Amino acid sequence: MIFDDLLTTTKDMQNLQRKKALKDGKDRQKNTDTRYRMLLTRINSLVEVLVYLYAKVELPVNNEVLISLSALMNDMEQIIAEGLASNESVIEAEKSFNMLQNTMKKEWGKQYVECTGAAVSTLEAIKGIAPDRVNTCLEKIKFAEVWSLDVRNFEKMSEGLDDADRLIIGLGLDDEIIVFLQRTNLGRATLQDLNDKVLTWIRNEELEQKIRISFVKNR
Amino acid sequence: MNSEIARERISYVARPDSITTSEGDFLATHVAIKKIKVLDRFDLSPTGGKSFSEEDIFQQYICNPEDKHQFIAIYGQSGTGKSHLIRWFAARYEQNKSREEVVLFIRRSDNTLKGTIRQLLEKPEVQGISNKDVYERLVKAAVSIEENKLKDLIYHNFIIEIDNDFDDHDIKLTGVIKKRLAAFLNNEIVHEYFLRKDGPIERIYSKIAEHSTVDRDTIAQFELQDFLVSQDLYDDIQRAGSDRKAEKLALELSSDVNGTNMAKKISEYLNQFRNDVIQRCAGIEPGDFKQIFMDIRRELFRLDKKLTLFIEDVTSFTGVDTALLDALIEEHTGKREGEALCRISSVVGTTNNYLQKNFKDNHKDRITKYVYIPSDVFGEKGLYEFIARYVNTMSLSEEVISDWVNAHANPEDYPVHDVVEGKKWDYIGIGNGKRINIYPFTKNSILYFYNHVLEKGHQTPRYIIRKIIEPVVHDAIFNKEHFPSVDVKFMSVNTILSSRIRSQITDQDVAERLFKFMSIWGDGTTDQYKKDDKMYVSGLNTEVYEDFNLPVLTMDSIEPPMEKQNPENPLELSAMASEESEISSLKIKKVNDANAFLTKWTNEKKIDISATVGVGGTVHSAVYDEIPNYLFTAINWQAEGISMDNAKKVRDSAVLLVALEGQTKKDGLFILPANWNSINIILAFIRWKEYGNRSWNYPDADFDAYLITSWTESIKSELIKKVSEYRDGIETNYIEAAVAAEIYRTILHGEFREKTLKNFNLQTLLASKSNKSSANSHCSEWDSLINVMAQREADVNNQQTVRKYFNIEQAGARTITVLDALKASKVLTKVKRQGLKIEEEEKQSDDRIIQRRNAYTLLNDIEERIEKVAEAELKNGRERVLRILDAFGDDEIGEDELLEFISRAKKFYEGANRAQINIKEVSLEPIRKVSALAKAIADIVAVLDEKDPLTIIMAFSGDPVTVIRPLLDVIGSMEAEVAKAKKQIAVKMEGLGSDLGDEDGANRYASELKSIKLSRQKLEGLVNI
Repeated sequence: MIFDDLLTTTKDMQNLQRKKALKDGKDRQKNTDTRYRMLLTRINSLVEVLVYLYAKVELPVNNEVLISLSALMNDMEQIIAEGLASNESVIEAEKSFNMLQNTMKKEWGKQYVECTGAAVSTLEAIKGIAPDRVNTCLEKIKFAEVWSLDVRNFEKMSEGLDDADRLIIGLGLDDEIIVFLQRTNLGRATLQDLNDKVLTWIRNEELEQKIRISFVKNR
Repeated sequence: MNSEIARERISYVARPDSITTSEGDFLATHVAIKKIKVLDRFDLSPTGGKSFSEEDIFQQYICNPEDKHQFIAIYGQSGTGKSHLIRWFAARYEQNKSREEVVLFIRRSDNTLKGTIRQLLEKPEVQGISNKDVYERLVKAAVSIEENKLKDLIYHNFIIEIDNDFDDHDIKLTGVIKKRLAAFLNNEIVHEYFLRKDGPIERIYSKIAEHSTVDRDTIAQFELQDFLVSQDLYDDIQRAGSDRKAEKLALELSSDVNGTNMAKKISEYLNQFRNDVIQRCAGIEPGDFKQIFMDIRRELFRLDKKLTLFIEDVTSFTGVDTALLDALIEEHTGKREGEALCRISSVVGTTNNYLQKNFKDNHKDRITKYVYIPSDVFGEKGLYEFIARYVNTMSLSEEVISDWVNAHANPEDYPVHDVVEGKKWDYIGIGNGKRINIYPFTKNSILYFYNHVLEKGHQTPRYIIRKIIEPVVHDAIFNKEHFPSVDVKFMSVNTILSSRIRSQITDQDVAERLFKFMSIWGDGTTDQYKKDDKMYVSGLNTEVYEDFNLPVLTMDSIEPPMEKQNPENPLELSAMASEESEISSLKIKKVNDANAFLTKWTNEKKIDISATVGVGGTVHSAVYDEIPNYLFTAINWQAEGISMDNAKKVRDSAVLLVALEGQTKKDGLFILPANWNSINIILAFIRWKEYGNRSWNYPDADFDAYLITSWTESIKSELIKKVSEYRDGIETNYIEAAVAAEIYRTILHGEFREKTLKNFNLQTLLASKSNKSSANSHCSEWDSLINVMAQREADVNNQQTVRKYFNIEQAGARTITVLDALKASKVLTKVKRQGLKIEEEEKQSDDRIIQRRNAYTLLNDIEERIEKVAEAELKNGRERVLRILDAFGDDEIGEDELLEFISRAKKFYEGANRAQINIKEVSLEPIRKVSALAKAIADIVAVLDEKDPLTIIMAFSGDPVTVIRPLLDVIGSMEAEVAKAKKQIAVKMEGLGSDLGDEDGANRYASELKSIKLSRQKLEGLVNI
């Protein structure tokens, strides 16, 4: 009878609605979770990169970055501590991460140069000696030219730097010249490293124009 | 009178035409005429100028003192006495003529040509004429021819004339028309038509042959009317298959305008041939008559004699009149002098019409004197004398008259009869000391007959003899015991006199005779007086009454009246007789006719007054209109306990309030017996209408008023009883039926919607409501019953009956009505208590008064159908309400349930909206009025098991099905939408699948937490760096 049918049908519709809502929620949750996980992966990748750079490459540690990253980690933990990760929280975390990324991008730009400048210059300087090998080194080093979250890029860079060292050593040059090239590669060469032998070598290799002298900056 | 002699002599003396009266009787009855006009030129009806007596004319003209040629035409209307005067002239002249004078008197005889020819042949002067050929032709012409043969001869001779017409007559027809006319006349149907009795050929024939029956004064010629073809005649001509030419002419003659013109032309055309045809048919030559008279004149001249010719009626020379007149106008002097003709003095009688139309101009020019006799030639004195002489002559034997004639008929020797009957009756002086007793006439009766029995234009000697003298004298001689029995219409009925007579005389016949005698022979009053030791009643000596064994009644004594001066001028006769100048003669005639009609009713005890015109119509009006209207207003019905509604219904019904005994059509509540009293009553009403123009403003109206009011009083109680009763001893009770029907009507129209009649009060009953039909959900039987009730506005009329029955109308204040609430209440209560039923034996369905019967008819119409209506309505309602009950799953649905339903419906829509189920939203607005819905449902539910039709229809009076219909619609729509929703829910649920359980949050992110922990460790490791 319609009188009861109205009631039962209304309940059925409510049930349907609830179930649908449930289904809709799950999908959304899934999306949020995916998003969370992706962020987490990226954060983990960042941690990996920073760990490599700070620990292995021995870049100067930016404590602020670490602190921010740590806070971000905390946030990430908090997000899932309530049960289900909420979309809004994930978005906030993404924002924080992006900010962190931007900072790292900016910083890496300098740090890359600091890290690889000497070596690259040295390699450029000795390019004529062993061009293929120098290019290979340079290519490897360039892997890390743009900031990314792939630690392998940085490992490649380190590998390139190491190759550069080995290349210099492998050139059979005098120790003073090797030291000078290594130190130049590292960006630490000073006028003290210049002796006649070194100068003569420079002149012989016609590298006078390829080497700059600059003052050391106070830290 | 000497009736012994008169009974033998009446048929000889009382002859309207002086043709066959003997000379003695002629002279004995002759009254000198004194108002004759003598003219030099023809005037159809001259007035003014000098009047001459017959003696004057005789001396100055007839005697021809100058002995000159003269042609005197004596004319006047038919019956004025032309023939008589000429005869008198001839008789007088015969006695006073000189020796050389020959008198030729052509009598009127039978007024035909053949008869005239015979007269001529008898004259020695004609027998002696030399032209024997002419004489022999006349003899042959006088021979009778068989009637049909002669008529045919006349008819075909006209056709011969047409065929041989060479346009040498004044009036011409075209060749085409002549051919058509000949074909037309040759047609068998037309031939039969023209030869019919009273047709034109018989008219012409009558002037030729003897022994015809056509009026003597007919002119023997074709008239316009003879040629007008009626539709029937035309159809007959066509059907008979006539010559096309005949048919064409017949068609033309049948048309309204052209027909008249053509008919006139044809009649004038054919009349040109009349004389030739007549002469040919009579076997005489056209010139024969002229020749005869010329021969006679020559012969007389030869004998040194002169001729005085008297022709009573020149129309008896039809056919040869032109020839005759030509002969008569020939003077003996002048150019004819050489022809030796004697002097002729012609005195010719003719009618105005004939003189005007048939005398050619040259004849008229040669008439030396015109003598005109007016119609009203007698003065009062002359009239008395005329009748007196006739009565006297009838009472004298032929021998006495002859002796007087033989002694030169001197006036001073005029014989007067010895009075045997009527010694006490009136006498008339006729000069020379002579007085004639005029029994069985009185002067009053003579004047009355002259003025009121003779029609205008017929107040001539001929009609005086025919309509006055002969019938009255005959009645007195041969029917004395019933005298006066002559049928005379009363110009005005003296009702007082009538009443007096009838109140004193029981024998109706005697009363009638006496009334007639006193009204016509007497002065018609109720006066009596004594004069010279004699008693006079109604102006008549009481001994006069005894002559006819009429009773002498006691009347009102008055002083004897003074002697009246009798005026001579006949014009005053009419004025004197009709003293009731303020009432038109037409109205007086109407009343008199009605009196005669009603008198016949009292004799025959049967009367037909269904006609609305004529005398029947006069009585019809009294019985159908005046009497009921009067009784209706005169009787205070309400005071007698009769509702005005009932009284009006009776008045307006087909049954008359008062009908006449033996009335052929129409029934009546009260029957007026066929007696004189009833006549008086009816006539009083008629006079009130005719004389008083529906007022009491006319002479003797007070007596009529007394008659009517006393009669009303006498019949009142019986009439009231008849009105109030449906049948003898049974009061009419139609109001109960009317009230019951009205209650049904209010219920059926939804004006009273309660479940019981408890609250059905007077206000409900009497409230005015118009029966507006509107759309409803009632069953067809319900609407059909309403339509049946509305047929011929039965329901409206019944409603009016109920509303008006209990009204007490206040005299004068028409706009105020008071309700007899007590009576109304009583009736209503009774009807309600009886459940609107009236026992079959109490129904008055055969009431004669249709307007009352209609209430029962209406109630019967309702009762015959109400069961079926209730059954069908209940079925209709049951189906629907059960549907609702099923829908709700409950047999009690009140406002709460309905509100809940609405709420559930709303939630359903909301739920569907949220659940995105696609359904149509049904408006719940129509079912918002839950209280009305609940009531409607309850009303129907309450009677589901009811058997009483009244209870059922009361439950449905408010049309609850219409009220619940929106709910039914909503339920239907909702069911459909719910079904739709269910389908969609099922589909969607299937689409959603079954695994929709929540995952444990803790396990959800386990790996992520691990990962974070690891990364944190790594970061901490960096911090330590």
